[in-house]
Amino acid sequence: MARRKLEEKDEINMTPMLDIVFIMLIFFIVTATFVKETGIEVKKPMAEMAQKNTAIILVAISEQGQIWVEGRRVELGAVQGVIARLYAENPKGSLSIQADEEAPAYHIVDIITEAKAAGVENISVSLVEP
Amino acid sequence: MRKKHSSADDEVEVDLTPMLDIVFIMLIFFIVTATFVKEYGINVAKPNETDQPPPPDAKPKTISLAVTQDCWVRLQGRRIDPGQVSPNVQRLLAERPGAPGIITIEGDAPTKCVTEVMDQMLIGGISELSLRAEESR
Repeated sequence: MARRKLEEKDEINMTPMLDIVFIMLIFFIVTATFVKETGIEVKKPMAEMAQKNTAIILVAISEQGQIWVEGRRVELGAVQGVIARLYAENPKGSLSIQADEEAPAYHIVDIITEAKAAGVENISVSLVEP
Repeated sequence: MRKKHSSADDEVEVDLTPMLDIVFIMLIFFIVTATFVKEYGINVAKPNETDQPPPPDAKPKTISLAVTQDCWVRLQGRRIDPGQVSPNVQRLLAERPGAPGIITIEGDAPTKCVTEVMDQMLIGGISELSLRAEESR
């Protein structure tokens, strides 16, 4: 009897730790949103009134007006399909347009038009805070 | 001998170690891949009746201005500096409160000018912004 007691004391009860680990695991699985980077680095314009938002779909416009999504260059005609697919993966996702400072601004309007056609409601122009 | 080892006491305990290993590896994977993207930006609202040009001055319900290619702003036929947009917008907003703002982009006006004007309009108190491009380009 005495020996058995000693043996039981040696073991550490893992259950509470396992509970915590599981809860953390579930949290990280649920919050995991795999944001696909655009693939190019753009110089975003600055604005005082920029607000924080959670964008899931990122579209970049380079200085030359090229459109980049998911690390690939996409022609304007194909943008709607790409955005629609990304939006289907994340129906709550909002779209952020990362346009280069020097890029002609009408490209932003083009992307907005395409995104609207793809059904995205929440669209913003990405900026940096001063 | 064999019977003694596999006694009822031993059998009820399940070895949790392999499962714990897997769970930990999954946990670490999800922590590492968790990207809490912080984006800053200005929301461009859904422009209502965007297909038709901004209404003529006779019955203006919106505050519309144009950004020219050389980074100037045309507002009600006047040519103003982008920095002067917010006081003008404030004045116009006093006349028609809650009016949405529409920015028309002329030609190849660069993004930084347009975003500056957007910023100025928000500073001026406009809550809803939309963008449109000039048709002839």
